Amino acid sequence: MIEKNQSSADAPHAARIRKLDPHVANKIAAGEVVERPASVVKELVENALDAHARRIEIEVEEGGRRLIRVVDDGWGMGPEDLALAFAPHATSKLGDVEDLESIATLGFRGEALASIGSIAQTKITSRLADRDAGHVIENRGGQMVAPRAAATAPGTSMEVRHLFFNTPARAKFMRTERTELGHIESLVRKFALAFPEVGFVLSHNGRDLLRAGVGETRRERLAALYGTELAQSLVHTQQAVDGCAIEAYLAPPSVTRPHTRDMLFFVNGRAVQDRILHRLVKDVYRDTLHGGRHPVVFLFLDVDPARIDVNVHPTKSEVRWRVPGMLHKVVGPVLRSALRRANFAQEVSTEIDGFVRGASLSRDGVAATRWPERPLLERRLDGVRQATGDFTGKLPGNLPGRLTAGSHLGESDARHGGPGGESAGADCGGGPTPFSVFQIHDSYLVCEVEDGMAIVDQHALHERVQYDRLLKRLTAGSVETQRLLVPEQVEMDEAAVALLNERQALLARCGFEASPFGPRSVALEAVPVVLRRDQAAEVLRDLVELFRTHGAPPEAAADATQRQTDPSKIRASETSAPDDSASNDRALEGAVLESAVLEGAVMGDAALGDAVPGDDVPGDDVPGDDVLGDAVLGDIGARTLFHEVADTMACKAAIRFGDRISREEARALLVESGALDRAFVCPHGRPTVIRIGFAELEKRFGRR
Amino acid sequence: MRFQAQRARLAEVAALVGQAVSGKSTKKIFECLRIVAKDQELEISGTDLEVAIRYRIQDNIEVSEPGEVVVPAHLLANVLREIGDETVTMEHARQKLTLKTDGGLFELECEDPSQYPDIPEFPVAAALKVGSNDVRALVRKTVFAAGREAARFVLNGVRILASSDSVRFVATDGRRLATLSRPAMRDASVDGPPDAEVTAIVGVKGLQHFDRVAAETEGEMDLALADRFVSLRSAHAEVVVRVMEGTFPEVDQIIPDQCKGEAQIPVGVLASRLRQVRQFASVESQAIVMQFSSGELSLSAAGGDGRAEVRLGVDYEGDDLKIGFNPAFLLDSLKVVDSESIQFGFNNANAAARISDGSGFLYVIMPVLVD
Ligand SMILES: Nc1ncnc2c1ncn2[C@@H]1O[C@H](COP(=O)(O)OP(=O)(O)O)[C@@H](O)[C@H]1O
Ligand SMILES: [Mg+2]
Repeated sequence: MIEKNQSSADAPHAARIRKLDPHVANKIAAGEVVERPASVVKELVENALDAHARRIEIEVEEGGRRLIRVVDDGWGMGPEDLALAFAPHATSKLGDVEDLESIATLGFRGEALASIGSIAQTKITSRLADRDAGHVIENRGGQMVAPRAAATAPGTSMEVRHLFFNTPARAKFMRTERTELGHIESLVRKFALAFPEVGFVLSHNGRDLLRAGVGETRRERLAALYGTELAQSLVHTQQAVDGCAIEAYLAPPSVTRPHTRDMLFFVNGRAVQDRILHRLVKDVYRDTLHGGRHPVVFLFLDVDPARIDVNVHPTKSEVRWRVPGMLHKVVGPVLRSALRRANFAQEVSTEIDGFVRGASLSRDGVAATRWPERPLLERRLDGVRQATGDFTGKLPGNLPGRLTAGSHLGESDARHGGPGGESAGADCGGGPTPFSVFQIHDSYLVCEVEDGMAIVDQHALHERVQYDRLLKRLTAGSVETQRLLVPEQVEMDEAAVALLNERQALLARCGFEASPFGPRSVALEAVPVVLRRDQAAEVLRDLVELFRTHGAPPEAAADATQRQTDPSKIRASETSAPDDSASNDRALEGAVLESAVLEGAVMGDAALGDAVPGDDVPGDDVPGDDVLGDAVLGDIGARTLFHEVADTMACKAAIRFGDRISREEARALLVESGALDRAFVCPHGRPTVIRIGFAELEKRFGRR
Repeated sequence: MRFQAQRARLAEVAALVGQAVSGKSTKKIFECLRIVAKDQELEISGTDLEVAIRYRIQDNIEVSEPGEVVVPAHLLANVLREIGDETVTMEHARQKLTLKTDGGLFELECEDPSQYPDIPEFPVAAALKVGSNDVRALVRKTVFAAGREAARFVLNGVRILASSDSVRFVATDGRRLATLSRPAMRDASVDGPPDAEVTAIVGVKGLQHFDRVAAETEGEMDLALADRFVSLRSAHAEVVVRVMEGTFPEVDQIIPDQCKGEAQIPVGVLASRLRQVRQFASVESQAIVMQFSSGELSLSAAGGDGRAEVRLGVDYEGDDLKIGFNPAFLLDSLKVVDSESIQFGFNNANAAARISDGSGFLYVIMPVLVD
């Protein structure tokens, strides 16, 4: 094969167009594949993995410029394979064109070794697992040294020396040793994450940088790479939906990074950079992050190779989704529900002086959360119910499903139940039994919980509660509106007045009604029920800013809004018959807006619905791949706006620091928040609750 | 200063005045009340600069040495409450107020009386005569509708409008409005502009003191609206409330003068049905839906925990109408009406509804829009 290639270079010289000398062609291809030392490591490790190695050792010297050696214990190559290994487009992994549609190996282009061989001094030593001896072949920048026998362990050792030695222009682009090493290290980490069962060792100039044992679980691997603390705080979820296996490890929202390096996505074992996944994950965490922080997420997707196209980029770091809506429909909900299941509260502990984030999570991440326990009162309430049930000889019928904790009740709790217990229920109209909570400095609530105490940031917790309510309303329909007795005049600039007038439907959805009142003010006629009246104007101004920065969500929404915004209808309150027509109009506007906003998702789903059942995706035939992609992003855009609206309003609607609240209000807040998803992180990602267990108290008081 | 007084009355007055004095202040003097002993009269006053109360005790007093003293209000009230003696003697000397009882001696540290805030005198020229029961009704039937939001917000006050023959209180938080009118009489002995209507906005706290003083008064009281203060006076007591600055909505533009539909609804039944249904209103919306049809009113609410619908017979003829309200706002009004039934008037689901009880009480409530 090598000979044949070389002979093609002897083609007649008369024509002006001539075939490139294969060596030159390889060097050009190398430009695409081998950008820097890390690219070499990537190709070599992929080859090792494709050869089913159980252990891969990577040795690097001088940032990879001097030496990259990858030794694996995979199935190896015989002398015949070795002879072909450096030939361009020589691969054992892809038979025919149809195979391209369903690539299951990491490599498939048969380009890497040819490229690397052309720009470095490369030596492959390999031995088939069932042979007694191995062979070695060398390629010195295109000059081949014929294979010869050599003693070696089963598997393959690839040695790449003096990378770019014959391409000085490339060599110039090499950065510092440190930078190049950084790229290599993060690359190896990704491999190690993607293949937890494979052992990895990475060393640089003889020093170990990374070591991960053979046969680890994913969480063990995460601990090996990122430390036990982070690994244990991660929430794990694993689900198969629609022919897509999703596994994710999600850090609590309190753990954030100023960079996106710890948001890692793997598709079929391949680390990918994916815009859609990136936005999707940010969207999942949106309400708990702020200030340009990024979450820590490890996401592993396994899909039928036919449903993605990895042959987009020579380095295969991008995938193209043949059905883009899939990610949105399938992955989003799985991540969201995993985050919801896990409540992240901070716990004060002596193990580390300070706060251990998510320390109450069990090793497997989800089930064994000790906090959030439902606040004690709720269990007491269960006790009342349970006791009532016992008293009447049967269990009460209409109990919520969380009755189970009743069995934990101690005597003092049970006292509230039974025949004498009715007063406890009666004082709040059947509401919760009192439990100890009090407010300190008009800012924090201190309350009794099952195994200790909790300190609550009243503003943050209430903000969380309000945020969830508002977001739910915004996505489901519209925020409840209280009409005002007297319209309130709110001053704003002309552009803002015009903008509000254009976005009446969107505004109504946010719970406001405002009509232009002169060029520089609007008359505020209705405000969200949850808002304090004195804050309505301020929130309205904030909304204007949000609308400004977001533009109209999708075009369609803006059109729909304009169509529906006939001023005579907006002012229907004075003129309409008592048949509620104005409010119908409003509902209608909302419906139109809703459908427009969600159009993207609906389209995406429809396409998916067509494609998935037969699992017979027509590949490139799916019309308007990109249109679908944009529609999905459009939906995220609309939801981004809603998140921000909810965020803006929740902060204003929440009890403030310094607001005195009654004990009943405090209790109500604690009960309600306990029932909420993710109640323990405020929308900005700060914790809302700090819990101090008896163990901690006893330790601090020297009782043990 | 030195006097002897009946302990029980002194304790009572100290407690009442003490309520106007702030319990916690950066300056000690603002936690004090002032006692002035004059010729057979004690004047006890206190203020938090918003509200001032002044009581006069003339019965069973023996002033042997006139004078003035400023002492911690709550300490004095508590001591007087705890000692059981019939009479008590108080003497002021060297920055201390000494209380002597049969077997006891109490010394209270005093503050400098010259530093104590001045409390305006009652402006006799601006006075109207109002029955004490009317004062109580005016307060009780309006104050609940006042706003409770940011501190100095004008809607947190109650607007008082006084003409030569009536007094009207109006309170609104912007979502509902309560107003009541009561007859009043210009004091014939004073001259002033005959028919001019005067108006002032005062805070709720002051009005609660109006109510307390009115509660222990029989018959007529004097009410005066001056530039910066509104004062209410009985034979023994005076409450002075600082006027709030700001513009209050024009009431008459708010109250719908015509209603397309009017229903006569029994108060007790409506209140109990509302309480049943409101349990089901979602926390977010706080709304229940009233649906009027001929002879019947249905109340419904739905939320995450379920839904409820109840019906009651009402006196209504007209088109069907569905309209949403905050049930708390409805119940607030039902608590203060004295009649057996209310007149409920409405126009459409977007516009104000009106509740009246035939006694001059009028309640306007804006709907909540629910989808
Ligand atoms: N570490 C290895 N173990 C076994 N076979 C290998 C190894 N590295 C390369 N090969 C063989 O060499 C061929 C060419 O490798 P490469 O140029 O990377 O192309 P590709 O991986 O795309 O097939 C592979 O198809 C494989 O058969
Ligand atoms: Mg390869």
